[in-house]
Amino acid sequence: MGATGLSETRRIMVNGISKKFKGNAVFAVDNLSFVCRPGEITGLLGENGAGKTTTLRILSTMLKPSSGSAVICGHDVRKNPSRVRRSIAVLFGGIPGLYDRLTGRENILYFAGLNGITEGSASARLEELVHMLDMAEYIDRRAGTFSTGMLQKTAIARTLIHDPQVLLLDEPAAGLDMGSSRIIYDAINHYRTQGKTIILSSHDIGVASGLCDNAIILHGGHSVVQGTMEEVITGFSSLEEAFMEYTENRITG
Amino acid sequence: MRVNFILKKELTDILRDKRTLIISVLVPLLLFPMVFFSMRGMTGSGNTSEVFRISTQVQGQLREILGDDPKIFPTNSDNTKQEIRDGTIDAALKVRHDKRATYRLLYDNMDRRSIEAASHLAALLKSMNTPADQIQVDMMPMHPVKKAEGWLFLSTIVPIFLFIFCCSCPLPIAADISAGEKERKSLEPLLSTGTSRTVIILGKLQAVTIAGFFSVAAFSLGLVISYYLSPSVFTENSMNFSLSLWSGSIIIILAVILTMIFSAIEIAVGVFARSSREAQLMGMPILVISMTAVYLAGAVSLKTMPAYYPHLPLVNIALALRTCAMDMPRVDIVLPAILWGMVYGGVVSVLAVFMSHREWAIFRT
Repeated sequence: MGATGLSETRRIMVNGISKKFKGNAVFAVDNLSFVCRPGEITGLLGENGAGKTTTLRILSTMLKPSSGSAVICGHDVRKNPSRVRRSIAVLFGGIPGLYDRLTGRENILYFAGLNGITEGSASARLEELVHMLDMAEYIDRRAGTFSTGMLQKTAIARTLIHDPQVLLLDEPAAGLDMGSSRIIYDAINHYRTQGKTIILSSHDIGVASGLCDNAIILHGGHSVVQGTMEEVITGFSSLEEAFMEYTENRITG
Repeated sequence: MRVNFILKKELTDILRDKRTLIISVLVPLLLFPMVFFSMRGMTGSGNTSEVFRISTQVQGQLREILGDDPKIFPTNSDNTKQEIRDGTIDAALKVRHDKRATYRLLYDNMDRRSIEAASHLAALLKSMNTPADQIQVDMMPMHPVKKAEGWLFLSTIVPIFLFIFCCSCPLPIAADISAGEKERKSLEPLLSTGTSRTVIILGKLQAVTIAGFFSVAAFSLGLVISYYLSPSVFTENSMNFSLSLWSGSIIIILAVILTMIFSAIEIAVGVFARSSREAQLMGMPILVISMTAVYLAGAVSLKTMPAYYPHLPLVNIALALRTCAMDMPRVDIVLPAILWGMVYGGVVSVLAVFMSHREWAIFRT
């Protein structure tokens, strides 16, 4: 298989990445390797401080790995970060990070421009997203007046506006009500069927269990288990039980 | 009671923040003494060891008295006006042959050193008065008095106010669009787009420079309006303020360059800071540094300053502003100031871009 073909079937290839922050004795991420393919959702699961966000930051080129390599759509995150950024969409966890004084539409179109999308195609794509995420009522209001759900949906639309091949989503439905969460998970499923490669970071095991094709359970920066969902829960009654068992065993040694 | 309870908590919180304390107490404490020190430097060096070169044709006892004064060095000159203009001599004392004990004191009333020399000499001559023998000194300024006073006043306040405005006006804007991105959590989404960090920072720099410059213009206009509304607040005697279009245009160019330099520094600081409040606090010392530059520029004579002065960072811009405010822009000062200013602007822009590429700055905790 040629290099292009390989990068098509293995859109994300992570090979032994580690990250140690200055002044910290322990690795935030330690020798992590995995592969993600098109049309699959990979769940990056772990407790707070397990290394999920650091991994996503490395993949999104926000942080440089201390060692190891990561290749996204054929581009190395260390050697060619700008190419990587053009191929990915990142939703960072926590506060959605919108500009309060801009409307939802202005927020989204600003990011479309930053990702090199022309105004015409951005507007057409925005209408699709507005429909999919049910944002029509408030899209032209200033973001400062939005509820948590509105903010999160707008942040997701902002993330997806340039229609990239790889989606890196950190807790996409954190703090949302059931209705809003459902809309967001339906959207993620929709992108899976379109052949996008998705990494979903979450500590909500129930959600990951229903949504993900693959799972990587992280603990203390290490991958304690990874594989397809069936492989990970083999021998356990549920993903939750498997998660508790793997992380507990690590803690107790 | 609850008000006191909250007051106690807030004061405890503020007093434990050493950086806030240092910058919000120490900087203002230093700033105004530095501003007035700068103004003193501009209105007179106050250096008692300074020796003035006075051209004089007087002979006899008076010449001896002049020679004995430690601050006067009597000399001869063939072309007094030109030599005063060049700074070779500071003033010229001439005898009026048509009147007994009457002297004419020629000096450059646009040059502080020459003014000081003339004042010293006039005071010395008057101290020699006796009831029987009254010495009369006719002061002969080289420029129209009201105009010269106005220009001197402008050359004092224009560099000071423009430096304060150009430094402080962009600060809150720069803090908001750099460190504010961290607070809003919009920095990571922004940096993860397909646009390079260099382009993002340069776009922000342009925005801060433009917004900052409009703020500088508004402050300056406010100052001009204040003068026209109540001129007596500025000065007891009405001065004649006039600036040519050329000088005014150069002042505007220098103000834009200065705003750009400070904006870039403040964006670099903002990228490092954790919050816009911290960015504003960290930006305050820049004002103190700029006042030092204004002082250095104000304390030297434009005629006799060392050759490296037009190449000193920020000092050269203050010098150029000084000459333009006197409506006498000098190519040898203005041109290096503009060229160097653009170089400094470029260097600090690179610094801001450099900061945006550093993990320890972006993810500082």
